Amino acid sequence: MTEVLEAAGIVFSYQTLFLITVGTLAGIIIGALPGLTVNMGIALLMPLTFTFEGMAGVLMLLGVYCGAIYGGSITAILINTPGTPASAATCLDGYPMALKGQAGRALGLSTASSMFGGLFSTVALIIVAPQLAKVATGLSAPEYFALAVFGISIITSVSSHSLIKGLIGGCIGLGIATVGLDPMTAGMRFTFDSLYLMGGISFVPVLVGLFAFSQALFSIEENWGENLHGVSRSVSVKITRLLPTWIDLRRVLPTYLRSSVIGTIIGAIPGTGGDIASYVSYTEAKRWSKHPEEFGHGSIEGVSAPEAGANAVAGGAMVPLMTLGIPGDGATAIMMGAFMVQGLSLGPLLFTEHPVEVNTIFIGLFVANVLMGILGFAGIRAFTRIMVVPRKVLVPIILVLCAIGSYSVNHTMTDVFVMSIAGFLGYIMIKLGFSMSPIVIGIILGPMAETNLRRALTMSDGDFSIFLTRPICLTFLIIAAVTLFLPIVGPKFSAWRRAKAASAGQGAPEPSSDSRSA
Amino acid sequence: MRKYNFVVAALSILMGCAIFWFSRNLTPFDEMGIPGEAFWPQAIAWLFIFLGGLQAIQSLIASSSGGEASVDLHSPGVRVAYIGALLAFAYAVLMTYFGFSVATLVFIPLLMLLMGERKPLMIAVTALAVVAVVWFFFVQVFNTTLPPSIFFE
Repeated sequence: MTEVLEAAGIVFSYQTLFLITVGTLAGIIIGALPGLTVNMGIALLMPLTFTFEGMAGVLMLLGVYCGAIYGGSITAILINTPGTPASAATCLDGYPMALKGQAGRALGLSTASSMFGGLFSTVALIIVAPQLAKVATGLSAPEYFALAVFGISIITSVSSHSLIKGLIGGCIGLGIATVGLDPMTAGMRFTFDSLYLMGGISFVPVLVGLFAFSQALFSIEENWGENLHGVSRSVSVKITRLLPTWIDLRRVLPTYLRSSVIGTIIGAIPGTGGDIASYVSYTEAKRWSKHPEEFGHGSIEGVSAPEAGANAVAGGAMVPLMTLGIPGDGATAIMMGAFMVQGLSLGPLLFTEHPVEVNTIFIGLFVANVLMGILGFAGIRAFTRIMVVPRKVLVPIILVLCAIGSYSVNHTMTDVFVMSIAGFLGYIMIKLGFSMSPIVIGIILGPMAETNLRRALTMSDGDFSIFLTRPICLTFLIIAAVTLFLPIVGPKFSAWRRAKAASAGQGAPEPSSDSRSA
Repeated sequence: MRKYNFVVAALSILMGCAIFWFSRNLTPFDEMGIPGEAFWPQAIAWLFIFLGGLQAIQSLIASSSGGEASVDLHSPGVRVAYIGALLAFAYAVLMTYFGFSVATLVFIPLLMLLMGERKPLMIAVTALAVVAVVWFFFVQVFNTTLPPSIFFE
């Protein structure tokens, strides 16, 4: 109880509340600006967190995370352009509602459902995470190695274009993490007598480059196309009533609950994310709805379901991150980096060694979701103006923040050059079909995998069978193998089944018209 | 895309070989048979080589079945992005010598001009506002330092 009170004291302090508000507001704005992603927002603001003492910076990032997921729905409803991939399903009914003159109603419902989903998943996190951590406290080096391998194996799920390129990206991340002093012997590795490289390649500038600088280059490219074709973003809809009516709320409440459960569960599965959660929530809402015919034409359940599902992912994704130290996606991988910089090693020991910090995260996430709702209802008219800020203004600001953010980590210009190079390479790599998340996962989990592998082999005097004789370790390695190979084998198995079904259908006699009508 | 996929495959294999070369003086295993400094990097190197090989095979299969997507690295829009990247790199160099304020006041107008902004007032206001806001938040609120000019260090 003392820890809870201490944590509440931290969260409700003037400075922390201010930072969570700033983070949430920045997140909503980032989400509302098409082309800026959740990952980019977190990466861009992450260097700032190092200037704050204790947990305040991490809580600000949680605010960005929550706010950005919600912010994406604003553009989805008003201009049929999802601000983030998680809001793509919101376009299906949000935009038709806006066309019918119900933009305010749609925005109000999306805000309420986002807040409900976020709060629901936070409660789920508070209930589930400590129990899972208790189970995981008995783990030692072999199990931690298996966990790291499991975390790395989700690369196949977050690789959007090519599985092989995703794995190569993961290797690049693992390779970057090997530069510097050896974690066991402190011997120099790939440092080439450089003082900078002795401390390893600082991962914050690399993350900022990969997620923010590269996206800014994409924005320059898109701006060129928009200039050529004379495209301009404008909002012509009028927003009247924002707060949902009691009748609307009563109708969508079951959808809120169902979608929040779906979002929390999907969020807790590493390798998934808000986009999957929102589409699954949308499909389920349509299946259970008493008015499925309204879906696609401006259904209030169709707007509520994806938003509740997508925002519930935030709390769900924190479960494996906090209890096992496994980031579920790019955003949580970046946040894991922020935790590490604050000296917090995520995993089961976090709950026994840092109970105050754990409770601070719980309460902070709760507050961030409440603030998201308040800011959403209070500032929606302002956000609709922000989202039409021209790229010509936005991109220079982003690039300046990339440079200053990278500099502020170690106060060295070398980091700014590292960021620029990483960002340019990231731009080219995205063009070639690479995803950036596997690289980050490799950088973050590489040292954990290597250190625990070598510790485990020291424990067993170099005997590799230690990984097969410990049940939990073996279980995680099997799950990792399934996670790794399922995206490869799964589609081939489905194709084989479809081909088999088709050949069986050809061989079977054609049913008569009578049997069809029956 | 086919050509670039082969380049990716070749670079992956090259990366693996480079790791082997640079880790040649590190110890893979100690006398107890426990992995040393070279073990993990060399395991990654093998993965690079294996995945590079797989990428090459996949590209061969995909090109024979005609299932290759195109990749845009030379269109005018992409070239503008390259110039933007060059400007950003020059911004970092400028910041090293002249500090944050001067470099930003040069960089923002140039980038805005590159992106098609032609209103001088808009360019001037944006540049000055960004410098002022960043200085206020970073220096006054967050109590951190901005890159100084080497001439004033």
